[in-house]
Amino acid sequence: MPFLIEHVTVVVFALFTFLLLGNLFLVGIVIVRRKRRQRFFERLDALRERYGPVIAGVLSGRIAYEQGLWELREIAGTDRLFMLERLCLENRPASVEEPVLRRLCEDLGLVKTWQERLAGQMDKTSLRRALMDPPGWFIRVRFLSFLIRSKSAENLGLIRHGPSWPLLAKALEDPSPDLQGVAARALAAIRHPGSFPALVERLHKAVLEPGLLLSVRTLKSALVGFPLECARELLPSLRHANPRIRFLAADVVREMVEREAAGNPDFCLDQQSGNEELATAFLTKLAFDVNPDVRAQAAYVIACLADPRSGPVLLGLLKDSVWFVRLHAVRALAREKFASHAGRVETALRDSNWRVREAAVRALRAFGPAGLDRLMAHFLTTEDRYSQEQIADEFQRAGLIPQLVAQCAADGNGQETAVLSRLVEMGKTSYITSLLDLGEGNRELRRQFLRNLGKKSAPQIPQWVRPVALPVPDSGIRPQAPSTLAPKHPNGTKG
Amino acid sequence: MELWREIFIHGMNMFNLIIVSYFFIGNGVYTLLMVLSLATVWLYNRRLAYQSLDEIRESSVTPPVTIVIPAWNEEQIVLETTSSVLRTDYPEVEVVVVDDGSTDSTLRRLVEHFHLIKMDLIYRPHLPTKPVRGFYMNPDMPNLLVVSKERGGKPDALNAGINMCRTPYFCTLDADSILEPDALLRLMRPVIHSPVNTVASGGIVRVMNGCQVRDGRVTKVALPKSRLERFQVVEYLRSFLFGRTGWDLLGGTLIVSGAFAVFHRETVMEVGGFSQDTVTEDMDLIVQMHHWAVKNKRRLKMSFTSDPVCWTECPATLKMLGKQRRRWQLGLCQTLWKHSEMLFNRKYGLVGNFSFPFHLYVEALGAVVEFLGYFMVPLAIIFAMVPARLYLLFVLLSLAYGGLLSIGAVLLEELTYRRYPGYRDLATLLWFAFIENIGYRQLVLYYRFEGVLRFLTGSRHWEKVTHVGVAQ
Amino acid sequence: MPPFKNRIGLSLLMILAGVSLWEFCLRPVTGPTFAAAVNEYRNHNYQQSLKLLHRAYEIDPNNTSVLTLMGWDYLKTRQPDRALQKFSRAHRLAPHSADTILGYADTEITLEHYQHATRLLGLLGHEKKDSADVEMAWGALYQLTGRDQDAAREFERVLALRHNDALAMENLRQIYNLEGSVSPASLRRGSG
Repeated sequence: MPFLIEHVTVVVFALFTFLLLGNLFLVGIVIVRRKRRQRFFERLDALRERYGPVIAGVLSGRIAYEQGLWELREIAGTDRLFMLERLCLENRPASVEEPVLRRLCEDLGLVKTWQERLAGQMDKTSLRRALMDPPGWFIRVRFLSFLIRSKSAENLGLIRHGPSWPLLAKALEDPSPDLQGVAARALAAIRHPGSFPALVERLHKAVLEPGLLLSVRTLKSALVGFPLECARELLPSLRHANPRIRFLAADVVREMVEREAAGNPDFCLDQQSGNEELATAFLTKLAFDVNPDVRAQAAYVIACLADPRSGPVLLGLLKDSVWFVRLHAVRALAREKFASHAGRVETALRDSNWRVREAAVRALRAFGPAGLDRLMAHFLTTEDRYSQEQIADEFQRAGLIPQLVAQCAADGNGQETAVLSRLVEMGKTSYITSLLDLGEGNRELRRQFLRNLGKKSAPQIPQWVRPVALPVPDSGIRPQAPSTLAPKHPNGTKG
Repeated sequence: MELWREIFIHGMNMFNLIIVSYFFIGNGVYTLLMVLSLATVWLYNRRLAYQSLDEIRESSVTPPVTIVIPAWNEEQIVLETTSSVLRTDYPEVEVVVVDDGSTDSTLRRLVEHFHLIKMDLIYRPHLPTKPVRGFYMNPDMPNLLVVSKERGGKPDALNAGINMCRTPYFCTLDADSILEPDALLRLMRPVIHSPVNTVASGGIVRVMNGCQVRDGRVTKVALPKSRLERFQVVEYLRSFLFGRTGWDLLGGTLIVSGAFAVFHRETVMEVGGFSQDTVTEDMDLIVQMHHWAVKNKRRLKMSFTSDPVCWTECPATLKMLGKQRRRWQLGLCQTLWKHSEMLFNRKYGLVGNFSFPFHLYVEALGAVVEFLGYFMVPLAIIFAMVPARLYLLFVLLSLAYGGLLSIGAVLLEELTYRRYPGYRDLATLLWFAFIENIGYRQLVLYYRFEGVLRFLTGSRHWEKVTHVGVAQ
Repeated sequence: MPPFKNRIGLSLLMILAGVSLWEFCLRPVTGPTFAAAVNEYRNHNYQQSLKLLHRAYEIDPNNTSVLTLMGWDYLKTRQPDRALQKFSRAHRLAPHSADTILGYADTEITLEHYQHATRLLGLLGHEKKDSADVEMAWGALYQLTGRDQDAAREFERVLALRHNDALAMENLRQIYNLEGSVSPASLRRGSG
């Protein structure tokens, strides 16, 4: 069929007209949409202003429950449920308010609606209703229903509605990854022990069936939210043949244990009833697992055991062939209660991996003054340059230099002076120089410091004394600088 | 004479064929991206209703992130940027500001404001960089580190920051940009929720010009006063809400804006960090990651999400705009040329067979075709090779189509984030979306053409866009 | 890397080659077919000319030269309605083409649409005053509308431009009721 130019012209003109109308149509949608949103927010604001204080009052107990409920039931309109949902869940409730909020949502019919929606029991809404009611479209269009089901799941999690946990556990198997994720988070919020196995099973599936769309991290995050009592359910996972499952399970237990230990420094896992098997699993199996990731996670848990075997096992992990196992072992030891193992931790200062060395430095600092002394002693005696560098780094980052400088100024013959000398020899003078910078407050410090450090014969010392001391206008300090800079006899005396 | 005439006519016919193909292919793909993006962004926005940030904020599983800010002569704004970043709402964040040999008082301001002390820390240059002059920290603020180094350019500065990064992820942020408080949380959400290792996650960059900024926060969003800046507002909306979203959905992401993006540190180090080969190091890195994934048979994910927001200053003068657009075009050409083996290479899947060719033929070379078209087609009319009426209709058609895309972007903004609440602002946006293709587009096209010329002549000069602090 | 070793360079070369191939080898062209049709027309093989022109039309239905020649062929083969379609379309596409206007006018004269024919011929204006064909058309128009004197004048002009134009002579004989060849003298005798 010949392509006539008139047809082309007509077609192009028609396209142009279509596009122009399309542009106008889009502009129309934008304006209409803006107006609708404005009306929506005006209505929401009005309801918030009227009923927000009512809800707050009911939750806090200032308003009688029945009265508040009766007032909230006044809210009418096709979007009644939607508005109630917004009003009730706008602000995160305090833990004391949660039971009241749950009851309120139940009595207002919100919980029933959410449960029905989550279960997929939604009546297909009319087109008119869909246009008027915000979630109407999501009910009407089937493949969008996951939006409303996910929102319902989230709401149940927000109010921590315990009886809904079976529905949420079932939602973990839903084809929609969004709903799976929300359900996992909601279950973590509710923390019903009955839901823990479902999450664990889902975690297994996520590892064993890589095509699944729910991330392992989401599941892990959900699991760690549960109380420690649930950790026992992970025993089969800790013995699983798949190393990644063992690792994830160990990681979850570690998180739970660390959370408990953070709140209670004397916390011991094996002293909690029912956890003996778990403790034994970590002590006897997981600390020696073939998978280094598992061993690494085990270190933290073992550090929280009262069992006398835990110490040697943990110290054994310090000598693991894999660096990050050693790293985690050192980090696990970074508690004051392990101060007696400072000697063993000190050996990690010579580790081949800098992260382990760094962790060892921090661990020794965590042991308090005794640990710091050991650290400084090591710094002064070691021939290992990397170890020295790491410690010097930590001294600076942790802000210990002012303490060292002050101590040197007070007692010129102490360990601190030697540490500072060593730092100077290593060329790490910037921090020290900054402290001794011009300024009236440091006058005495500078004087003492010059006096004490000036006795040292290391050649680098004059190199940085000069810029620090010579320009100082202070007549008390200036004469000291040249004497510090004067050449010294080989026996260390000035002459 | 007759021979020359014949050659000319054949040449014109060939060019006309190319320009018609470019028109249909380019607009066809833009249409596809628009449709996909409309659906995706709308749906994503709905999904945000149940994707609370609290879970990410409070979870112990949320990975720590280092924000790396390269800065060269940014004394005007670096404090504001750094302060805003330090207040960012994220559980564990470290900040590394890399002063890339500034000749102004960038470093001095940072040191004075944050009471930093110079330290001699260990520097492990896994990625080679220019020498580092010093490190500055405040022990009472251990999550802020300033690195002072010799001038080496932005990629070099970023690499220095990565070398000092101790977290599994790092976020690049331009020194003239301001993050919204929860931007990092939103940016990390796809990383955390993805079942596949997400090595790069990009957010949206919005124009800060005209907005009120106080204490490192955008307190009031408003449109800029000047026409030039308003056009850029529309342009940014279109390119981020349509372009990036569409490519992300198709899995063909080639560009993640380095002004605000999160990367997986280990992967970046394995690919060699940011390269100095091009002037758009962010795009180069992304493409390099694709290479690495194919070579190592790894499955990677790069994502773009439209809700994490970074505000940045756009050029306020034609001179600066020209510099910026020339650089972008030059960088695009350099990157595509550098990684040319990806073109129609089956190994690279959709990226090599769809995204790469599109960026090459439509985005890069399209600037040349379109620019020349403005001269060649009138010639064809003069020589009666193309009916004038038809040509005029095509021009109107392309204007209408361009307007559709831009208005569509404004619509998408309206359906989702509605950052410009006033009716007046909305009307202004719509108007500028409509007229964007009359004048502004041609101006930018000229700059892009210049950028291609620079590439062809071997220029590698980074044209710095100076900022004047146009936020109120 | 040299451009021709680079995939981008290679792809651009391929695109250029493809476009060139299309332009020089594959794109259907009307030129030769049209030239042959013109030849046939000149040899009075109007049907054959039409056949060729139909092929050309399939290739390029918007070519005004093809449309115009088709119109002439239809006119010659006494199919004025079809000729009218072609001429009118060609005129829309190329309003200033003299050949098209002339053919269009002739067709309208044949179809006794004298007013439109007058308007069309008027478009040709002074530029075509020295064209025998235009003068002939005017002459025919005047003759058919009863303006014999004007017609005679036009036919005389035709003879001045084309001395042995048989059609002009025949028309003048008809006007002046003369036998034999028409000469200026016989015209003066006839008009007297």
